[in-house]
Amino acid sequence: MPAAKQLLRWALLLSAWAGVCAYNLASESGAFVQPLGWPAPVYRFQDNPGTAAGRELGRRLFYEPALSRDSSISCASCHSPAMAFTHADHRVSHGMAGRLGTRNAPGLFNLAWATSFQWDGGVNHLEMQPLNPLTHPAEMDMALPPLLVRLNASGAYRGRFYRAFADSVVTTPRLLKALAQFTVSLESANSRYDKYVRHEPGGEFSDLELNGLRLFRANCASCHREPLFTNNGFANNGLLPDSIYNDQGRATITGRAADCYQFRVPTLRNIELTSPYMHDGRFQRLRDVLRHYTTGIHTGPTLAAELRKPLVLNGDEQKDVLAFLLTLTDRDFLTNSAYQYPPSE
Amino acid sequence: MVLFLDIFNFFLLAARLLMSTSEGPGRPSGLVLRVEPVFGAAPLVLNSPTYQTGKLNKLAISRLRFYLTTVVLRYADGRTYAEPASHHLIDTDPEAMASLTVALPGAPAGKLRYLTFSVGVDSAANVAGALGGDLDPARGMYWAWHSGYVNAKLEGSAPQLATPHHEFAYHIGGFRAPFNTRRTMTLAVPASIATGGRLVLRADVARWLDALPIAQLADVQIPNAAAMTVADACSRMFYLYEPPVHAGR
Ligand code: HEC
Ligand code: HEC
Repeated sequence: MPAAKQLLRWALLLSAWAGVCAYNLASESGAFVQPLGWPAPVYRFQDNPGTAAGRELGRRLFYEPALSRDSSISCASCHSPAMAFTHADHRVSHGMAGRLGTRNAPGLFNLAWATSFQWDGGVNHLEMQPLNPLTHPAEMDMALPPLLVRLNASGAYRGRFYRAFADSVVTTPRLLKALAQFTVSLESANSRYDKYVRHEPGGEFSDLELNGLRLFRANCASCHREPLFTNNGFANNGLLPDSIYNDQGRATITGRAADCYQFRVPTLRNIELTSPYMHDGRFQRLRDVLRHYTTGIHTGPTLAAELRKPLVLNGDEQKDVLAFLLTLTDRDFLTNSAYQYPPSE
Repeated sequence: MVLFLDIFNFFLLAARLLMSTSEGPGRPSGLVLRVEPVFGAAPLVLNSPTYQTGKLNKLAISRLRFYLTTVVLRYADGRTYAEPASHHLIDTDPEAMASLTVALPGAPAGKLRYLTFSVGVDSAANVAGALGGDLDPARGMYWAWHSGYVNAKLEGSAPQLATPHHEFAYHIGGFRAPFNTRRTMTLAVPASIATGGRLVLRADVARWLDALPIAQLADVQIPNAAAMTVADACSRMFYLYEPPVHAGR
């Protein structure tokens, strides 16, 4: 049967090709990996296929102070790798010359699954996010045209752009795509919780942690949904509106009163390291957060339905939830050498 | 399998033959679309406080920029030509990198009937991530805090305006319902200019401003209901210019 033979030959060829692709993906350090059981990523990798050279360039740029007008701060100044890429101990971010921002810098990881960015969801694409800190006067205060001139004047950067894009000219899309290749590669999926879910060694939970997980699923998971610990939605979780900035959150983007004081549901992965908490960094400790959810809810017109009835968690139960939250820390992520300050060339 | 490939080749050959014999009216001969910013009958000169509209006089225009996109030509014989990747940043500033001329080298020759185009960037490009060329965010027509392109900008001042520095500013953008501010227009091509291979598209700022209560609506820079009103007014400024026919014809 020649037809069947042909078919077989094609099938073999195809599977060999797929095998090569899979091998390439797996072998390259820092390349995107789809964790088992996770939803498909939202980021369109086909529009910006990552390469080792592209990610390396993105990493250089991420740690590059020359991206700010006076060459004083880099992306990493506000997104520190040791703190899961948040701004350690800063309620709201500090930019150039100590100028204050109005919001707390979120951690940067698992961005491939995010459907919008920033606390108000105003940014619709990971590649466009850096335009905000770059051009904001309180942050890096650097307009794109002079930044492109600066990078094009650097032989080292022209070489790196050549390796990443087969063309040494630095353009806006290449700059933004390189940064995105790096930021989208920041994946955190190997915490103790992940090992517990995958039934792997190292994933053993104590009774307290198990009870914490149970309580978490009952009280928190409608918004902080596994496995990403966010449902990518927006909610008012009962914070008293802050009096300094009166940040209206989602409503600043949609203009709808119903969205007032709604903020993007943040992930809780690596939450142990990302203090201070909430969009304005108002809580220093996780204990304060649990106290907020149990006894501190401010009832406004846009408060989330789940939180209208106070959450009842006694002291021991709060400790258990806390113990569970600490299992979300991913040491492999924090120490991954592909994410750290780049070695000198 | 072999048979299948042969059939495929046959079609390729046939297509090539067809294309090579299509000399005549369908062949591309190109068309140039020239945008001419004017204020009433006069060419628009930036920062010249000499214009008048409604109750305002000594009006100066300091900026006029917009995205001219999805250009489509319709011919008298029913054919259409749609420019591929049709995004053009039009900027009145003589020092700007943008050009006022849109070249359509792929447009076929023939008698034109309609010109269709949009002011504003389509929603696909608004969610596509980092783009280059005229859609480069470095061109100053992109909102970083609220992702999306600014479709059109018009700025100016008049002494009678009770605003800071007597200025008004329209930055019109937004690509999502209910505030999709992109506008699409179809203009009939007058017979006298339908075959010349060149169209002059006038953008008359006076018509844009005449349609608006500037004093009450001096600052619109986010996607909202007011932006929809200003976008409607903007779409009224376009017409195809017909050179006057000289006496003694
Ligand atoms: C001055 C401090 C500062 C600098 C510098 C900075 N960021 Fe941020 N970053 C923030 C803050 C604050 C937010 C949250 C902003 C908001 O919600 O309004 C943020 C948000 C983000 C987000 C969105 C995360 C999310 O989950 O929504 C990404 C991605 C990001 N920054 C990447 C970068 C990159 C890349 C650079 C360098 C080009 C950079 N940042 C430089 C403070 C900073
Ligand atoms: C109705 C949805 C909802 C529920 C239920 C909910 N949260 Fe949240 N959570 C949010 C939102 C929204 C924010 C961000 C609020 C802000 O910053 O304005 C948040 C913030 C947090 C933060 C701070 C994260 C950071 O990076 O700053 C922690 C910690 C947290 N929640 C834990 C919990 C725990 C524990 C529970 C259950 C007891 C819970 N949440 C229940 C919506 C919810």
